Amino acid sequence: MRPLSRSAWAVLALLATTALLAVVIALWPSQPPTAGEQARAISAELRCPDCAGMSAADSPTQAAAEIRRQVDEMRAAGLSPEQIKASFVARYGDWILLTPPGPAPWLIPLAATGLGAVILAWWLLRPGAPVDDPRAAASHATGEPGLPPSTARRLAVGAAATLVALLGIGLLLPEPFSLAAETVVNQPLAEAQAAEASRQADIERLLARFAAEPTDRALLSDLADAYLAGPAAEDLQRAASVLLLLIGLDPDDPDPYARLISAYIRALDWTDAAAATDALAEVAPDSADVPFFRGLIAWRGHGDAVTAIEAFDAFLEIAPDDPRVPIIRALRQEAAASVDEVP
Amino acid sequence: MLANIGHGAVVIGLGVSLFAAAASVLAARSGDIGLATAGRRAVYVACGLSAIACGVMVIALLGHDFSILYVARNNATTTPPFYSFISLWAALEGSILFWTLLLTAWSSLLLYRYRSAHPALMPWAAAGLALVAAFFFAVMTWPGDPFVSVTPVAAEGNGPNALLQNHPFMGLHPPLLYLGYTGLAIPFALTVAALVTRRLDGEWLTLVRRWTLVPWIFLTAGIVAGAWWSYEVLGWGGYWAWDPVENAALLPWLTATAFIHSAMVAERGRSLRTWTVILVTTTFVLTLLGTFLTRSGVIESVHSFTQSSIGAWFLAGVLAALVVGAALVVWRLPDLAGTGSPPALVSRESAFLLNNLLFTGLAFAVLFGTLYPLVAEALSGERLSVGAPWFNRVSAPFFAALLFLAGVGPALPWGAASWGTLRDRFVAPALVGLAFAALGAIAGLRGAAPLLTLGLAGFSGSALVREVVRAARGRARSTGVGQLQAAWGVATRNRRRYGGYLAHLGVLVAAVAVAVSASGSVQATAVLTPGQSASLAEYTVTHRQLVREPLAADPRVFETRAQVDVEGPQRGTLLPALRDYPNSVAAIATPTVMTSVGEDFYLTLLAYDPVSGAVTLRLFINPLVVWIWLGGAVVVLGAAFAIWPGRRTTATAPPAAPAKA
Amino acid sequence: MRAARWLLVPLLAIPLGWVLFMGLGRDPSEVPSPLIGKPVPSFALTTLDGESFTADDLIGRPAVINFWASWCIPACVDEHPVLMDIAARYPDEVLLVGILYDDTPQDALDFLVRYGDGGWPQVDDPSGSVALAFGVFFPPETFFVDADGIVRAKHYGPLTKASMARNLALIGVGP
Repeated sequence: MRPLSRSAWAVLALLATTALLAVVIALWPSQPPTAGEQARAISAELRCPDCAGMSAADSPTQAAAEIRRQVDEMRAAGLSPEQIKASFVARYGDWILLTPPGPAPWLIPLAATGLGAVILAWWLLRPGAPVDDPRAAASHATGEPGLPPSTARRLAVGAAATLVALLGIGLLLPEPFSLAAETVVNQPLAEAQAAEASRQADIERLLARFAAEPTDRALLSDLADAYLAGPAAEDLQRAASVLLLLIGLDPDDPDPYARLISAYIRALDWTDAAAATDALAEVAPDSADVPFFRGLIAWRGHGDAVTAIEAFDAFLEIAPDDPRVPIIRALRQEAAASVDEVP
Repeated sequence: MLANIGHGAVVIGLGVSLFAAAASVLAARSGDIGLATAGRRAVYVACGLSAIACGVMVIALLGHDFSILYVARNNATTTPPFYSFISLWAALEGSILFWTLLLTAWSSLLLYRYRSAHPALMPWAAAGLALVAAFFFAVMTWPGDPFVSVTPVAAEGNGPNALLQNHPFMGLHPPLLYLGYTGLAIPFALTVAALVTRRLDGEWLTLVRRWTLVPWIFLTAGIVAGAWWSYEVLGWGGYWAWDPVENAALLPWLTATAFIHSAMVAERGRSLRTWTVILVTTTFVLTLLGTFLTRSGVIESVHSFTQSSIGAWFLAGVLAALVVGAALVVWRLPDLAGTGSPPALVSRESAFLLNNLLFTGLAFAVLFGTLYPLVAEALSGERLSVGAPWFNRVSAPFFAALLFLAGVGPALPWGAASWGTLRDRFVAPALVGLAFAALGAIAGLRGAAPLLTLGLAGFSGSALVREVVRAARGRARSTGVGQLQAAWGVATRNRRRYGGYLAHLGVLVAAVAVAVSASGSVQATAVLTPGQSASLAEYTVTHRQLVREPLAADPRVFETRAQVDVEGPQRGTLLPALRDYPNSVAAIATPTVMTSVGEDFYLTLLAYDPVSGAVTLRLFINPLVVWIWLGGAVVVLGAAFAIWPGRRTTATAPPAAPAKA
Repeated sequence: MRAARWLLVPLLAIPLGWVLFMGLGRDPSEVPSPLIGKPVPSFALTTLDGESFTADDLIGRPAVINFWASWCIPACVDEHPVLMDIAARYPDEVLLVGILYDDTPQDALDFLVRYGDGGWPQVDDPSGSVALAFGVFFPPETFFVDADGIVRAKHYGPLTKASMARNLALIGVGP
């Protein structure tokens, strides 16, 4: 191979600089997208259901606005863009995605262009054609000899390869490259937030029904459960209020008492817990819950080991097969140990 | 009465165009000049008949003659005359009628212009065009009759489609597009003639090139005007949604553009004849396919006309054109086989071939994306969507490579290039390109797409400018006139080349504007009660009051306007509105735009509360958008400059004889 | 070889013709619902009479859920008699529910006054979230839910007597 001329070096240097600059430009971290921009990017990928071909981000219809609102909510709940899109696919099918799923839609146009490129290259480089000396057919426009065939061929092949590579990179990269820091989703937190959101929705739904049917005991019971599943102290207070309502509807039903007492206990409200346990003892004197809660309140609430052990023993006698037996045994051991220490 | 005249004109038009086709075929086979004249004149008559039919329809629309179903469905007594007039092309049957008028007008123009030239080609071309016209007349005679009458006659009509009566641009962009579409039948007919008569020579190529460029100009203008209409009317702040109807216009534009470039290579030797013929045929088939797609209801679209059996007719038309075109090409393959040598690898010829690869590759990608939902459903029964995100992603690399070639092609010499030439012509432009990208980055542009576009446009633009300057300097030296005068002299002496350069510059300007406006657009939504303000970037908008009143021009239309004061780099009062049309489900937004050289401030009213007067506004700042329209105008100007008949016509003769003929 | 190249013509025309012909035969507004075979999405809304209505109310007997709007003319007007007929014919066997799509209660009530109120619950969906949960594209759309609360069919566009009977059979309501 001939040593490269100065002009060739210049061209190569220029190409290298351009490539470098292109890479830097492409990877330059732009400002991280704001929450609004991220949400917009997601809804721009979703098709508006009741307009023609527009995205939910661009359409003014109510359905599009509701999609945008739900996207915002799900993002706030920590769902990833993929999860958010999947939730819409579950309702509308793949139709809702403006980018069709699967590799075929990307590969087929790329393959067709690649095939065209191969045909073009074959046509230009076909053997036997009189390309022996393009210098002989030197350009009438410039009147100067062209590149030697081998150099021109190399240059063209290099250019074609670059072009195909660029097309491929442009089409196939899952996301545009960025030097900006990646964001990962805290999955357990996201799930917890999603569960919480669904609980809140349940509560709203139950409350709405409650307003219409204030005497539906099953409904109240569900509502209490929904509150009890909540993390905050006020959830426990509300659960207690609902359970009191439920008890008010039918004071002889022992069922709500246990939940009421555990709500008080979880809120560390030992006085009300003890009062509720006494009420339960009147309604259902034989219930295993009575000694269970009495023991719990005595030991955890007042540190009264002696009363607690009595109650635990009563519980173990009444309900030896109860699933709570292991817990009570452990608590009893704890209480007994403290008695031994402090006689 | 009116309906009978219109329908009669259509039916007679069908007979006349069939006669024109038959007479022309006989004339072509026998060489009988009298028959050829009869065929040609029959085409003029067909044009006259479609003009009568269109005239009847316009009279019926302007006179609100609701005894004609088309008028009853698309007009109301309160419709202003301008919108009554343009209702001619605002719905299915009328648009076919208008289409036929334009097609027969183009055909008549061609046949009249060459009434005493090209005696071998013209009868066959006349036959081809007459058959296409007969097809449209037949569509209007049977499934798409625009003159169906209705009894009893209602006192009031439905009124025009709300979206299509909202902006005067509706009067501009469909006619431009249709002129482009219908004009592209001419190169197809000329090519059919050349294939049948085996006259695939320079004469044919020159004719086809010119007669492609003219409709191409209209198609380009129509596409740009359509994008502008979409921006001004649809109220989502964008101008191109890759809607099927937009794709239908883009597809033939892409292949026609490829043809315009490949024709320049084909003219310089006998190579590329097959390819040229394929491009012309494909372009015509794509115009019909676009018509089919938008008029059969196969693909949902903003513009889709209602479903009807017209779809099956257009499908048959598309397939007939495809089969005829493909069969003719296959039949004449031996005549088409190239004899010339392939061009040198680094030469303008090769750049043009690469350009053709990219244009057809992009056309394939767009066609694929448009049809993929149909294919997927036919194969698997699944419903899919292919929308803007896919199209943007797939087309971006093609557009980037084409931007690069827009400067490389013109600057490369015909024949072959040496290192010296390459260095002379490309080192400085490459540095300019780098500087453009760097300046863009300094000016605050971010993201790969706009910076890359800016760099490529800088490179290609400076390569083009350098070519002009080089030629002008040479002329200034040899003739002793000033540089500007020399530049004008150079340009008018080779209109085709420098018109092309101008068109390329327009494309570069529009490309930068598209890339920057797409990446730099910011938007916000604000709910404001009267007196409240919101701001976006440097702009502050204050909602003053909500006005609800019927439109003066058409009292059946109720307009709700927000009066909004805008403070910022541009200031003034905007009146974005929502219009309730009696025949429209949803209120139609009338966005308002404040345009400056640097950016548009775009305001849409999304919703309002009539009680409190509160409004929901969507605010956009779209940088550089006006340059898209200006760039488009420059493209059209450049192409018009290229085909404008000059003192010395260089269009028919290449600047130099091919090296090996 | 010479004959073989003629194959190009059908090779081009047949696939294109087939795809477009298939496209011609379909209804562009018809999309298969992913909800079929799944439990009905949960929701809690209020009827125009101010009563609560939730997804749980659908369980226990076959239900027909009709998304409609007063502005959806003529489709919603066309199908209204079909719904009225079903309400009269199966007052107890079938639970008929109307859910408003992007409409105001006032306009909906006007519609019912004008075209007849069959007395089945009409539910307002002010944010459109329930329509979204059902994957509604454009009214009218009708879901057929069996007694266990499983979506069995979805109908796009105006119901006809025939489509109503066919879909009712799928949720166990026979003539």
